[in-house]
Amino acid sequence: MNSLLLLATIGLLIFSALLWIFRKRKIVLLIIVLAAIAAGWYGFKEYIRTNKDLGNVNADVKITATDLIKEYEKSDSLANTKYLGRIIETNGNIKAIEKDENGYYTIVLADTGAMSSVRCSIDTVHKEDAAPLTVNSSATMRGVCTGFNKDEMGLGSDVILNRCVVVQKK
Amino acid sequence: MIKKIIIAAIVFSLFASIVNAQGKFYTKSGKISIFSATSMENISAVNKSSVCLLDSKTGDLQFAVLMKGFEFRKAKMQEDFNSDYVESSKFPKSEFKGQITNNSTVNYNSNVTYSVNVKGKLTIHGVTRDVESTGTITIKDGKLLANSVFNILIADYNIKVPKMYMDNISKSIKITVDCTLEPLK
Repeated sequence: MNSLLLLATIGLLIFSALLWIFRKRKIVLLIIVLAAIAAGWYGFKEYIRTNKDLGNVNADVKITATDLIKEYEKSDSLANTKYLGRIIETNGNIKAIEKDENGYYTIVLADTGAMSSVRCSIDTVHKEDAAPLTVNSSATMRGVCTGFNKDEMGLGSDVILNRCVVVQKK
Repeated sequence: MIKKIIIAAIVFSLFASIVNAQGKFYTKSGKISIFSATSMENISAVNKSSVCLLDSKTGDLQFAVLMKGFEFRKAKMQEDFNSDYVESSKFPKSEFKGQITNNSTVNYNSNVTYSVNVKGKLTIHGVTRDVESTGTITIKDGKLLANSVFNILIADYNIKVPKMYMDNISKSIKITVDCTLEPLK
């Protein structure tokens, strides 16, 4: 996409230069004005762009919560190259459902008895999704992986997913 | 005799674990916000998955924050923050390790708000620096609310802002800590 844009820009520049040489200067000015408007529009769109709602997008990676934890425990730097910042869809057993004083939900996916977990912070727009979930049932979550909190405080290790939505069973 | 020793050991270890359980408070969904105010615009972001551990006996206090977990209202800002400023792929985690220096004045069994002084080492963007701040600890129905507001200079942590955005991003970033800790079982 970016290289295509670059190619188009170069083409347009050469085209404009030719027109300039052949004394079609008004057309060149028009092209410059149009390009400025397009760039401004693109900049404005970029500026007001908000984070994508993950309710209706395809995940980059699908993996079980158990495997995701295993990979991070083996090597968090290697796992980060694969998962950090990507949209992950993960299935696992709900170990806990946490709701804080602001109404933010966190769904903790882990096998019973395991110290490590995948913590899914639910997108506030989708917090109603979390209400029907129950502990010790299976759920599929989609969210952006923000990394791994290695156990350095005796609290267990966690893979963190952000802006999560509950993937409805079909 | 051996039986007695074993029983004594079990009782002792049980007792020790109870004492230990009362000593530590933690959360894995602490909120840490960053705020930049300039005449051009105000930018804020919040991280809702911060880990915090407080040992009430020693006053040892630790935080761990994943940089990619900061949520901005505008996606472009979040992307620039991660890729250009804090380089979160290279330095995914920020940490604080320190102490409450006036821990002995805090009574963790009473429902009162205490002012505390915190001192320790803050690591952001791979740079570790000594920091000092004040905050409050409120004990409420067995839970512990930890709050603090302090400022850091981005230059201290070797964070560079491109010239184009110099006027839009403050050189001093306000950090707000708002965590509700539960006793560690």
